Amino acid sequence: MSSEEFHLDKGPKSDTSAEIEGNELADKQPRRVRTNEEGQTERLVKYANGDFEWVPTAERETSQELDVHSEVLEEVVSAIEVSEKDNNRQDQEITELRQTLEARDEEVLELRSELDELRRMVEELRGGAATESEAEDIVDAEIIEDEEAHDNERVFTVSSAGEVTPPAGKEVELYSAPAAEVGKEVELYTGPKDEAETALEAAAEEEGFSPELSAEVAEALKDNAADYAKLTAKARKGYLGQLLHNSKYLVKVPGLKKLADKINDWSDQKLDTARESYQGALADMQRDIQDQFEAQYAEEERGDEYENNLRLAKQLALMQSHADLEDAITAERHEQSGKAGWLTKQLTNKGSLKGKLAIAGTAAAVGVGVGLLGGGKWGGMLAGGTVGGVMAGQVNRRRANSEGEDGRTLAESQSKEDRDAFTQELADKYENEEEANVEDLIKYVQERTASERQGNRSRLKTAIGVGAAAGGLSGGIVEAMQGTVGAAPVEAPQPEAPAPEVVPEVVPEPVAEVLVPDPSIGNYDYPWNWAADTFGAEGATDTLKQLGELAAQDGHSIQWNGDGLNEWVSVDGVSDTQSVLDILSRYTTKL
Amino acid sequence: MTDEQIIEALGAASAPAQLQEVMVANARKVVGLRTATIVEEMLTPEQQQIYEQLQNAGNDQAVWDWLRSDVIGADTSEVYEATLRSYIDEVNSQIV
Repeated sequence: MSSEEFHLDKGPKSDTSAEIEGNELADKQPRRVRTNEEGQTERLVKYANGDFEWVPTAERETSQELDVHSEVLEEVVSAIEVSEKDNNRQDQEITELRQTLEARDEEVLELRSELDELRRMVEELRGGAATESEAEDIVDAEIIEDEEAHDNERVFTVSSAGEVTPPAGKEVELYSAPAAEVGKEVELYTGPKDEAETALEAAAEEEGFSPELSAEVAEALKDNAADYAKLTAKARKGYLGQLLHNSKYLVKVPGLKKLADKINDWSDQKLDTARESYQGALADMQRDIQDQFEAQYAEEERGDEYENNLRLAKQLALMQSHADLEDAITAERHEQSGKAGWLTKQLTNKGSLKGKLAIAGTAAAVGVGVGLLGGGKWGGMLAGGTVGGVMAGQVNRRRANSEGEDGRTLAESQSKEDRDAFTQELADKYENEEEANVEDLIKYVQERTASERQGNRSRLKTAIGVGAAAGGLSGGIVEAMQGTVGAAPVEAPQPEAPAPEVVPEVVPEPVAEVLVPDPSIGNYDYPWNWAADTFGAEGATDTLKQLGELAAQDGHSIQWNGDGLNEWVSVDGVSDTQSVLDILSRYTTKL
Repeated sequence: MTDEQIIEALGAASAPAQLQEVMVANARKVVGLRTATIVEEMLTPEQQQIYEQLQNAGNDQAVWDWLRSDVIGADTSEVYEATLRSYIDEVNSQIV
């Protein structure tokens, strides 16, 4: 059939015939298109009921339809995207949940493992016992038996007078105080003295350094700190909880969050109470300091500088108290747990904690420093009151022949002190089941009476020398100690600042020309890295210290600060890497 | 934080240098001991064994290196830094 047969423009037809023709056409060519008399395009449309009609196909309508379709399509695409995002988020949540579950699984496995281990131990210990409580009794009995056996193994005996009897076959030479002529003043400690230190001693004696901090306040602080320190050692979880949960920074450290969660039930009423009491004592101490300041200066004399110095004095006293408290906590842990961790030992300069903790070197510097802030009387107040007369201990000129209340001369008393310390250390060694090394113990006693105090002396010397120079106090240490509230403030030291010109006693001697710095020092961020590259990582720190000693012999001021991870050295008051290496690297040829 | 940043955070920039030195030394001492408490608490029994073995070997540097190697599941230096910031907050908040 040709297309002409269905051309509707071939001439008029009756309605019926047109309808029949249209139906046939619609059946055979359902998408037929024509142009009507008005030039419009029409499409043949057949409906479900069999009717048909020619419908104009306007381009505009088609466009609108397309627009609608596009909108619908966009909505669909958008919906798909949202759905994909949801899916991604859900995937992420699922991943996180899986990780959490895995972590918990690991914890459960660990706990199961621990439980299995405990069960196995209980089974082993039970050995025929009917109940776990009986097994516990067996464990207790074994512990007691071990302790008794251990006690019996002690080979040293200590008399009530503090005399130590060594095991047979071992010679033990105890430290003895230097011989002293009756009526003659002697130096008990033979470390190097310099002008600054002599001036400090004179200033200390002149000022008296009598404690002006209320005895009641000082005593309360001491007692509260001791109580709190004891409890922190007993309630380790509570102390950790206080550290972690009272810090907005620590709980953000990923690994610590887990630990913090683990000890959620950290709160310990006794510990909390002790902490509050200690903090109350700290507040009282500050109020007492303020009272002292106010007593020294009339209201009209108190300006911004006065307020600033008052704040610094409080801050200094607070920080010193904190440091003392941490020492006490460490000592308590040492006593109560029988040992202190390696890391703690590292951070407290190794060795005997008790001996080390008994000497608070920075405390004296606090007194001196506060003296610089506002006059010797304030320094004296803090040195005498807050830090418990440590300054007096720093003044090493002792009257060896003067008799004390116990009838002993000072030399004898100090000898006894050292023997007592030896005895205590010995007892500690055994208590802690550490290897008792006689040489170490003797060395400890000797160090206590020499090197450590010399170290304090050196620390003081550096602090005083640098501080006096930095403060522009050219009149010497005595003037520094007697400075007024108007002492010139100084800027914080800058990392790249050149070495400050220090007072004469710490000015290094000129370095011999043959000693030249290592040209490679500019390549290193820290002195340790340079030492590790130059001498090998093992012993790098020791080598640096040897170099420091060589530099010190040449007149440089070497100061080691911090401990362990945070140990750093300053040379002639400057600690930036280049300045330090510029000096230390000159001495490599002398190693 | 550097020493200078510690001083700045404590509001002690105008203090004499030796006071600043004492403050920094005290702060680092307190923070060091607290960090030690936390780090040693976080060691698992197995890690504790390794820790002790390394200590017994007598090479302090090896122990330090091991502690720095993220064994506790947290960056030791990050723990130190967070402890330091907490301590500075503590000091500043306790001044009456």
